[in-house]
Amino acid sequence: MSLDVSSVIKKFGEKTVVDNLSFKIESPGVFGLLGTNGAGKTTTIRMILGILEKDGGSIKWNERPVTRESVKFGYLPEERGLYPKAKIVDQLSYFGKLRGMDGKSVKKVLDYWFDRLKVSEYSNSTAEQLSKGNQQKIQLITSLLHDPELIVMDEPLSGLDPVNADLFKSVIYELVEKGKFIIMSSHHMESIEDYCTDLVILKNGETVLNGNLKEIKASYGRTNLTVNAQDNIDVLIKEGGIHLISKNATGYELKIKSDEQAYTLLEKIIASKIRLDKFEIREPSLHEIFIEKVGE
Amino acid sequence: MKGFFTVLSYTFKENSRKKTFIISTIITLILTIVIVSMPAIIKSFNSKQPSKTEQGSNSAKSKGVIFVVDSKAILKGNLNKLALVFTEYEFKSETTNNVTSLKDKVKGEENNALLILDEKDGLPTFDYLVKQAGDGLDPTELSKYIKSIFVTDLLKSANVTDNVAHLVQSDIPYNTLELGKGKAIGYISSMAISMLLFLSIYYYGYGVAMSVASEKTSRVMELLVTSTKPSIIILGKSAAMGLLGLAQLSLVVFTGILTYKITFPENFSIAGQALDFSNFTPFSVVIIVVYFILGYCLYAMMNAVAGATVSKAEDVNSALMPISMISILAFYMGYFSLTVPNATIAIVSSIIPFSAPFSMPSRILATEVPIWQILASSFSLVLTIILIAWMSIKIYSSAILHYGKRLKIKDLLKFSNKIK
Repeated sequence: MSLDVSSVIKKFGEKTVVDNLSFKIESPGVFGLLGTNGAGKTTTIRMILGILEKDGGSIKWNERPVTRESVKFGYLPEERGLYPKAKIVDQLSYFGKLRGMDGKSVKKVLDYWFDRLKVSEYSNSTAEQLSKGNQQKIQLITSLLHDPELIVMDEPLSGLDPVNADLFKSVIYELVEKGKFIIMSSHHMESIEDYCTDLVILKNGETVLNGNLKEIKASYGRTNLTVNAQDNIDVLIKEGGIHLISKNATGYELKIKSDEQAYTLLEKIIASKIRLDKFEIREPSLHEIFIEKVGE
Repeated sequence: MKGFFTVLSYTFKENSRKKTFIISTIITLILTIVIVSMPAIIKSFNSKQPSKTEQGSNSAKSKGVIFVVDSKAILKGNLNKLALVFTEYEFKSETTNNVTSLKDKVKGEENNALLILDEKDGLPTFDYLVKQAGDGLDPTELSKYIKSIFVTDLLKSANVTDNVAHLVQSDIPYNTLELGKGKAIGYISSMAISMLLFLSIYYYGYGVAMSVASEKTSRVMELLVTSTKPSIIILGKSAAMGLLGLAQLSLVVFTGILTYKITFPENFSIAGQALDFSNFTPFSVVIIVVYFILGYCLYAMMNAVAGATVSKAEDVNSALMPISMISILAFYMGYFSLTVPNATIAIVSSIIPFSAPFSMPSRILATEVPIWQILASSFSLVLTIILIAWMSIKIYSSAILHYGKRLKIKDLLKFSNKIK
């Protein structure tokens, strides 16, 4: 199974919202669709789901155009969509039936998910009676109840407390285990970094980065240095000619040209008898790569 | 097809469960019962105060008094005869001098009256003073009687025999038999049906627009369109709201008929016409239902698009404006042609698809409509529905994912051109 997005273009009037976007997902896992607000993520998602016409290019699942009929997909939209005044169990079985399930299997699946996400007690409440986090759980059930092959999640973790965020993450890991293809869009870089294998970063509709996360990071090399020390080492950094990215309460984020540069700094800190808490030479984080690519 | 029924049954269930729907149904039912039993209520009020026609038989004590001032002796002592004819009244001869005090007596009592006879150009005339017009004895009856006395005198003085004099005075009896449809009754029921169709098509169509708009507002739409085809959503939803309307209407009509059977007094009439439902033949009932369905389909399709163009439910009314204008215009076209169900304007308005639902059923109730006109009307309706539905589905698919400013008709046309 594979999803092949190739040279996709979308224009709204004169404005090109998605420009020549291509990527491929060839194995199960989480694919990151990243970008700033208005970069064209949701538009891309809608085109993949076939609810928005594209102006060029092709989107294929197993070599066939993606339609509602050719692939079972689950969608967790960014703006939550539930009927505010309808009973949770009623609207969930409605969505299940719309996707071709029969009443019996819907009931079985719902029992499983209500239990898994700990929302059984709300099955007879209306959506408007639920808290934001619980609505989010119901929304997750909506996107998963028909056991889709391709799952698109737009900001799945927003508005969740740490406990529920972990619950969601465990569900997502489970889905990957089961061999699902997941496209996830998020501003939450740490969570993406946790389970993303491949990603694409969009800026104003253009692709600024595309590929395997590990390879991208490796290609940057070990360019970042984190130093947490008890005393001020500003002078030492300046002497070493090291670029200061940021300085915060716990320490320094630095950019180095080579490992030697770092070792020289380390020797100086030791020689100055400054107490050192942390000295880490590492690849840049996704957050840092993202800022570098789309910030300015 | 399965998806269509899923949308249909869900929309039907959810909407029939809504508080607003239940309350509006109950209020409508109560109103129906009140309106239909109104004649019975009126009649029961009337029978509590003794009515004028029944008075003579049951109450001697409440006899009204008619004071007669006959200074020119026109009645020539026929006052007793008057009392024999109008047994429920007492007649008292008075003189001109008492007129002022008599007026007070008349003012104080609603059954009293003052009759002042006079003569003008050889003809008897009279002033008839009552507390309020309509009180007391009907003056036309009095006038008839005085005329007969006058004529009898005239004939006598011309030596005409009693036999001939009697014949001269008698009315010619006649019967009217209506072979076509009763005009006045046809008019009343046509008017009622025309209004009923307009209100229900408008009201339930509005429900479709609201339902679509609220799905957009709550963002359920995105999930719906990823789950099934937009055409299935729009058709299933419209059908559900239509069925809901039909169910509510049948409930109202059924309650109406039941109340009618239980409470309606016999021989009740409106403006002298006995109520008669003979023009509600099975055929015309079928026509009414068919035109409700067709008219509803037409307007529901347009309303669904209007609902899809807005992002907030509050904007639905302004988005519906053009459609409301069309439907009101169409309704008045149908409504005005009611008085002349066979005029050109009536024929035209019953064939134009937008006004046909408000015009054709009422024409069928009021008059004989040639079969070709019924066929032309239903064909034009069905064709227009197919065309509008086809356009609506195309526009709807694009409009439902549009958020932000309300879409203009120009944008909609662009949509429909783009999606081939």
